[in-house]
Amino acid sequence: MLTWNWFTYSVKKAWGKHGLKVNRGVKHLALAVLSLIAFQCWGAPGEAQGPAKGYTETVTTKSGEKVSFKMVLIPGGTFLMGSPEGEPGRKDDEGPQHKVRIDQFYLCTTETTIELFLAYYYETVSAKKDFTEVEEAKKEAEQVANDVDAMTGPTPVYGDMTMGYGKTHPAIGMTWHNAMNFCEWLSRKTGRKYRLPTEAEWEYACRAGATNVFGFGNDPNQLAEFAWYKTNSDGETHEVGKKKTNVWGLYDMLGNVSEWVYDFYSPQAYKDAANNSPATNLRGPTAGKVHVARGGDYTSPIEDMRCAARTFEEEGWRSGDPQIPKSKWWLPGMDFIGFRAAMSIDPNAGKPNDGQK
Amino acid sequence: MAHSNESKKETRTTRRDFLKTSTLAASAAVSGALDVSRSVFAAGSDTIRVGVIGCGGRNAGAAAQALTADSGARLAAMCDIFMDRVKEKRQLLKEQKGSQVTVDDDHCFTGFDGYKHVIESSDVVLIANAAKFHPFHAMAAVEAGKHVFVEKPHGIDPAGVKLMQRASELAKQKGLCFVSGLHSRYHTGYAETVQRIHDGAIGDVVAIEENFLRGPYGVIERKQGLSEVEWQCSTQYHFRWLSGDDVVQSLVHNLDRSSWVMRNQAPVKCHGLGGRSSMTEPIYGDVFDHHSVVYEFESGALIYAFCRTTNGCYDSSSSIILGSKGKADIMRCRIWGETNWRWEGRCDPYQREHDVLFAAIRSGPPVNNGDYMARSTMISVMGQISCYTGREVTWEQVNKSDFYYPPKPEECRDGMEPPVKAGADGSYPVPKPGFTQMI
Repeated sequence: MLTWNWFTYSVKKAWGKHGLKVNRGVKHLALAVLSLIAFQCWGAPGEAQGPAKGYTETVTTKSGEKVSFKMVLIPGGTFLMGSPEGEPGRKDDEGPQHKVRIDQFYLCTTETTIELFLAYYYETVSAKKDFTEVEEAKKEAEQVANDVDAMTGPTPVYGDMTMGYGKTHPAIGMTWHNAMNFCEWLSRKTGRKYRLPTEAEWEYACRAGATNVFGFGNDPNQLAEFAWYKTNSDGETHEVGKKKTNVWGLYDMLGNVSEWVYDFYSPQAYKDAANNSPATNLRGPTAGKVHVARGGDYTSPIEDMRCAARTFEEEGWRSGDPQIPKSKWWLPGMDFIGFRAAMSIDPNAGKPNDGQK
Repeated sequence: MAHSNESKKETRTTRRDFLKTSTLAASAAVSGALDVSRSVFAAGSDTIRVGVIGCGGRNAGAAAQALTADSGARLAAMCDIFMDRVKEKRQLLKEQKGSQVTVDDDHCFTGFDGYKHVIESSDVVLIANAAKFHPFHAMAAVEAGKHVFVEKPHGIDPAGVKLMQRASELAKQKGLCFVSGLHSRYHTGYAETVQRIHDGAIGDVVAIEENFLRGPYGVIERKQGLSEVEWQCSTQYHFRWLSGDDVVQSLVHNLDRSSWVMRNQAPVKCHGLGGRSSMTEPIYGDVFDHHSVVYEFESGALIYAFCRTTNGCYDSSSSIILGSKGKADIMRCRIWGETNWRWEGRCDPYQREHDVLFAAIRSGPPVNNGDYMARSTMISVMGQISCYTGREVTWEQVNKSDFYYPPKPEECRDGMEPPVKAGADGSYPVPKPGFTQMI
């Protein structure tokens, strides 16, 4: 359970940036609402219209411990995706810039932590070898929808999934498939629709309304205030949420670990998107071999820390797995890749659904 | 829209170019132009025939690494106890390596004798099957004049390790390459970290903590129609007579790093504990699920080594070296203390093993890892025996012993009686520390 102090702090924080004041009446009203729903919101839940500015999700692990994380509302809007020609460090696949319209959604304020990912791992891990595709399809068909216990989970990781990092560091070394499976687990567990953000949503949230290189501005000398990257990381990931947030309250969008997004990678993707501009809620190419990861990581030089910089699964990401076929779950030893969860908002409800399916 | 990895490589210079970064890989790539007179294959031919003994995931991976290391390498022959594994892996490798996979149906072999035919049809033999057979198959390949890559462990019992040692010595005499799958030695970051320890970065080594704590090996459901021996072979990590159990099978990587740090010394003695508490069903065969071994060196330095294969427990995979002036973490390539240092780089040691092997085959001198292969494996064997018997085991004792898990590899026949059988309740007998006798 959250404390009153935290709630007050969150309300101030969420609204303070928009120049609004919180009064006692709103707080009391909010508290009344809080007691009725399964999770904690902040913002203006007492005002009937529009979803809450944020909420805290709490998951109870198999061993009875509670793990919480915060989701923040990303307001809908239209932005210019990609980088302008001439931006230092720009690569061809970042252009042409094109307009994308994004519906409002929730995004986790931090990268998924080892603590939360371990909760998923312990609950779903199977000693069974990866089934053949036919057997797996059969098994999935047999699974009861929403039954967490029936979920297919990862096979045991070769080595140690934490790679020696602490619980509040970002979860690392999972394949895109495994990150997607985590979101499915989290959705079944909470009754809310968690998923990976799309590449467009990710960049929109990273820019947080800004059109400059880093979101906070164009000055790389400020980067260390917001991000763990090559210059200041000392060669390791760091606890999530220790740097400044961007103006929408998101930590570590740049740096620490690269973050899986929903889209397949294609160097052509932006050219195709530009032909259909402005598109709404772009989801990237319909097919492909590898997926996009965004935001750069603790090993990245400045040019890979730009809001527009793109990376994707390279062959070497599987090199810690000396087998064929490669694991569909793990990228052993790859401590620079993680993700953060997004949640869709049901346009009819106008607020995060309450977990009652 | 489909797209390939190739297209992205053309449009971007990637930041993490793991593969082909080492100078050795570069030399392998240009080696077609170098002297090939040493090679065992026909003069004027640039083709090296690769054969694989064992078609599990690891050897399919090794085959791909071999074909990546040398554009003139061709996968020519394959064998496994099970033909479906041979066919499945051939298909997967064809998808990845295309025309480098030339093995036809006539060169797919099965059964305990399949190895003979693979050796006949190859210039280089890759061995990654049940570890019981590693020394025997390596010796057969060397006797036939073939280069060898062999996965760890290099034997599961004292008799096996000694045979592997003899095979490596024979390879040396014959000028053949003999490369080990103890991949730590091929990791450039680990190598630099160990070098710094040897140069005094953490003072004298006082103690080493080795961890290999993680989930269990994959469990395979018992298919209908398999004989008992076939069943045991299909899930070989769970049977001692095939795999040697977890200290030998996996902790050997950690113990190899420890021994390396200790300047390739062997400890004088050890004592170990082990048992099974989570893997108790018949499907888990007759192996333990947790072990701890304490080794002592002549200098008084100690290794505290742990392995576990249980889900839902604390996991760790690490080699921590404690010195009089600091501490090193080999797998993270870091040193703290009087000097602080970290390695900045990426290395794919599995690929490097093959880059080095094929560069040596092409242009010599032959590479031979026999020395540490035998020592590190014997260190793991003495630890395993101590865990089973519950007694202290000395280096001298284990080297004097000719213990082997019956039957001898050369006595294994298709259709033979299994050496271990399940009791009335379906479970297999396991060692009982304090009672079990081995050496």
